[in-house]
Amino acid sequence: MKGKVIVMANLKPRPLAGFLSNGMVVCASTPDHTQVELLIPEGELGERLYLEGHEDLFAQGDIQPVLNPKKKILEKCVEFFKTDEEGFVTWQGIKLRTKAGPIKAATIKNGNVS
Amino acid sequence: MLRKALGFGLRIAYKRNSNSNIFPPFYTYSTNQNKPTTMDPVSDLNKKVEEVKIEEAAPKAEEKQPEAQPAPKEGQKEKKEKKEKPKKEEPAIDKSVVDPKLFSAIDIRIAEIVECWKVIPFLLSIQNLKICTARRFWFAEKSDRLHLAFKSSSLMTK
Repeated sequence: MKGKVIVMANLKPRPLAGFLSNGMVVCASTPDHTQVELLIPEGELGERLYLEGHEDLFAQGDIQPVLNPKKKILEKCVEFFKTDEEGFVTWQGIKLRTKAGPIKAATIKNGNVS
Repeated sequence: MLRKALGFGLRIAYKRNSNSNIFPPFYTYSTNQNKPTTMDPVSDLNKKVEEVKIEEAAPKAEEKQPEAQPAPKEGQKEKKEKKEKPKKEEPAIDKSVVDPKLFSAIDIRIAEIVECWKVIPFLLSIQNLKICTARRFWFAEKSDRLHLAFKSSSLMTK
């Protein structure tokens, strides 16, 4: 299996199932987690994703190498990470996108993203 | 003569008590002679002075107390009000909205899967862990490419 995926790259490393996990692959899932789907982006490898209308906030160079787990940033943000009625990945209703275009789930609509 | 006699008597009285260095008390007897009362002028004066002092001091203390007690209460009330006011003025934090700046702290990027293999079967028997392994990955950045190694059968079935 090969292909492009979306990853959260600055999470604190932690052991998982016998190996060290350094991040998370972003997937869309149904609310009951019975169906999980990879989000396949269009864009260059290593390109950072951003919210529409907030390009300045996501300017490269302002990123912490490792998120502080005590601040629980991921936990606070993940609950607003969803797919809309058309399958586009949104955060608080704002589309997540690359320079090539918005990220879209193939089949899962009105689902969770994490 | 009476004066001389009285003076002589007094002198005797002083001489008798001269060793004690205490002013001799004069004993007078009231109608009930069993209960003598002292008529020491010095002690009486001292008592009166003390009484006067107490009387003078008492109203001052009474005046001071009511002034002193309400002052700290008012001060405390003002402090309490000051403490309470800022709490009321604080805007209610809407937990349903998170600042996009917070979300921008998460580094979300495009990566590529370069290697993938199956995980230990018994781990997959737990549904939660199966979902978790589908999301978690290991990667290393090499030559401008993110190399990923998945450990999830759910992704392999895709």
